[in-house]
Amino acid sequence: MHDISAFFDFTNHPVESTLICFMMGLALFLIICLVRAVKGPKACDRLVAVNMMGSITMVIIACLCVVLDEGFLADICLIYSLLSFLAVVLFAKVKIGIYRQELEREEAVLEQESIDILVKENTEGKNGNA
Amino acid sequence: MGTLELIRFIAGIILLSVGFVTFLTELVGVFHFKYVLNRMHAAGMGDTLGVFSSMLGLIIINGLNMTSVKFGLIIVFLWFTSPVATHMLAEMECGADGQYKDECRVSATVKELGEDE
Repeated sequence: MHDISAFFDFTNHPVESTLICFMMGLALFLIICLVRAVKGPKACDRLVAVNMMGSITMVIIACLCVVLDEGFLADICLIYSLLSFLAVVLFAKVKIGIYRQELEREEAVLEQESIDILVKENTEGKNGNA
Repeated sequence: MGTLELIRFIAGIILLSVGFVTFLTELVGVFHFKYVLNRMHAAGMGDTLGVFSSMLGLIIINGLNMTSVKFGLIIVFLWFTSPVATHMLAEMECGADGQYKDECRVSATVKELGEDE
């Protein structure tokens, strides 16, 4: 296994050390994004924060790929971007679908109520005539 | 460290710093604005420009090999998917909750048209 602390040495590994500092800053951003995701008043705010966290995590993984000089981490980064996109789109689709279903159900209930009222008026009118 | 390597290092660090500042702007925007659609505007910037400049800096630092090609593929993929994801989120906000007329300033003609329907 690689030890990432071995690269944190500005005299011998200047590029790697700078990249590790960059990753530290991005990790701080990630924590602040998490605060937004927890605080967000609506589901949409949370999803926006999760989307941001996905893109920042991708950059961190890409930096790690360059620091450790391991090619397979780029594949992991690609798959992470796919999964992040899939999660956001799936959640939004499901939420829109649930909303539309509820709307249709409400409309059906309203329609049924109006039919009931019409039927009631009709029967009352007939009774009155009789 | 040779001259070419030094130039590559400095160029890469400058591009990475641009990405870092973009992410910082994104974060400030997300905490500054009060409504989701405004926050989305700030958040979409980091997904495209922030990741693009960071990945470009990493490509310059890494040199041309298979890993750099994969980074380029990530940029291309993200430029296609990030607007789609943002569009889905906006559709979810406007379709499911429908409070955007209270939050956003809608011009009079559009408002009247909406009320007529």
